[in-house]
Amino acid sequence: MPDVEHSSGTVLTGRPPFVDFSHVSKNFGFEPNVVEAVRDISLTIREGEFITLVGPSGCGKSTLLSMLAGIYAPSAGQITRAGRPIEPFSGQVGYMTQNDHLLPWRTVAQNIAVPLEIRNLSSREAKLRTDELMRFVGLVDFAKSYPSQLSGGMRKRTVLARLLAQDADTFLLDEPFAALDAQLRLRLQIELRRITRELNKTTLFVTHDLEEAIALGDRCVVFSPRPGTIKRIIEIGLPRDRDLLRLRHDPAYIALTTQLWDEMAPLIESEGDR
Amino acid sequence: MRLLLARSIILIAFFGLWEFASGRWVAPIFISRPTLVFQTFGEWVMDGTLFFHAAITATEAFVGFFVGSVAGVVAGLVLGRCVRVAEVVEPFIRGFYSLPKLALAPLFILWFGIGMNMKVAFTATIVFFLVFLNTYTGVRNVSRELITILKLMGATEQYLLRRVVIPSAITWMFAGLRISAPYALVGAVVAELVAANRGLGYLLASSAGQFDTAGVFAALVGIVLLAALLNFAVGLIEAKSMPWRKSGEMSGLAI
Repeated sequence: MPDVEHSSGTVLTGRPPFVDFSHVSKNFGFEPNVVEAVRDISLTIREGEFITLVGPSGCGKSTLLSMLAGIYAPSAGQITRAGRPIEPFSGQVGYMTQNDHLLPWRTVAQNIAVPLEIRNLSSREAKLRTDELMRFVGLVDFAKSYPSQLSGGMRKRTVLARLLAQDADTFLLDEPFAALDAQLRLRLQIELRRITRELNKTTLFVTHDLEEAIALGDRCVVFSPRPGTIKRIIEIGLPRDRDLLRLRHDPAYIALTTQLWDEMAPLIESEGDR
Repeated sequence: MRLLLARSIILIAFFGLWEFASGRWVAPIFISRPTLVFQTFGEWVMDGTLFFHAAITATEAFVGFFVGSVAGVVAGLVLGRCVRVAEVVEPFIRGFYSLPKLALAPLFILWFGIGMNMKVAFTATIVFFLVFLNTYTGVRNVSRELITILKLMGATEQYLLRRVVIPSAITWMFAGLRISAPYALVGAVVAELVAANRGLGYLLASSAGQFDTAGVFAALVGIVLLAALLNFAVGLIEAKSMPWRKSGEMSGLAI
């Protein structure tokens, strides 16, 4: 492996830990119908690190995100963020899913301003910040459009800008680009890498797309299902400022995707036609 | 234009047939005749009888509609946001809902007499359930994921209600209001039929009591006109309250 990649891989290892899962388990339901969603997850994520999570459906990836967001508490174990236990709804954790969830009666600019309104910014400040964000994600020409008038990609950009307006330090992204076509997805992946790197956001990114998991992540966590446990953590070690457009031919990238496929193949096989 | 023509032809043919049939095929006591109906209607218009009774019915319908829909919207919002409470009271609401409202009329007469209050209470009860159920459904239909995302941004319950839940549910609320507007009139008229000494329902019942068939039809015409007016008003308010729906439709046309 070339030296450059190695050194840029180690830049992160020097960073302080930011999110820590320690022997975390989560059960749903009551006896005798308890479903064990995740079991004994331990994972330390550094500040500004981009973690991708892959695994068969129902392996508890989303459960892990929800617990980090504070939507529900773990049944056992501890989670800390920035050295403190999780405070639910503190505004420090941003969430994005496959669905856009924009408010249809608000324009792009007004949608982006929602978190600013929630934080009670003055309308002048909010306007400045909204304009800045729209420039940042390339939405300036669409400020006055309604979501129903936008393409899928533009809607995603709006959601991304709204997420940034929230000013959270942790991003929880649950298959945000799953419904997009391949080219659009690639453009948004490039955008997301740029944003999270420039703004130093700690990111957990759930995906079913193994190439996406390698292309975006600093590390990739492979889950095995029922109950969800960590099967393997893959150090990706590609440069942090990697060029996603050229990645496809990078031998290191190819080796990593092959490795990830090999990890996933038995899980996919055992899943059968359930 | 052709639509209008076709409708006019149907209308003229209908009245023509009615006029012709009356006294030839069917005794006038059953169906009267259009000329007589419009004569009676004209007389009521001229001497103000129609406006007097229509105003009373309209007031009952309107006040009942207002009281019932305000209560329905409030109850729908509250129960829609407090799922635990909704779960507890659900069987009571369902039970009360399945009770035929007409069966309440004697009770309301007992409580409120045969004046306007009884009609208002009766109308409000009918309207309440329709508006309540729609508002409740609308509130429950707001995406939970959206609510979660906004809560993670730090949104308070007040913010969610004002900026997200009410605007999201407004389509449903209006559907409820729209459906219940004609029922408000039904409520007022039915309550007048049960017991009253004024209103269009009373006019209808008293005409029938005197075997004045033309009067019965004339009262029906009055009720139809009042209903049309009511629907028009609701449509107007709806268009004013949700301008973004229009802009969405326009973009749809542009493509």
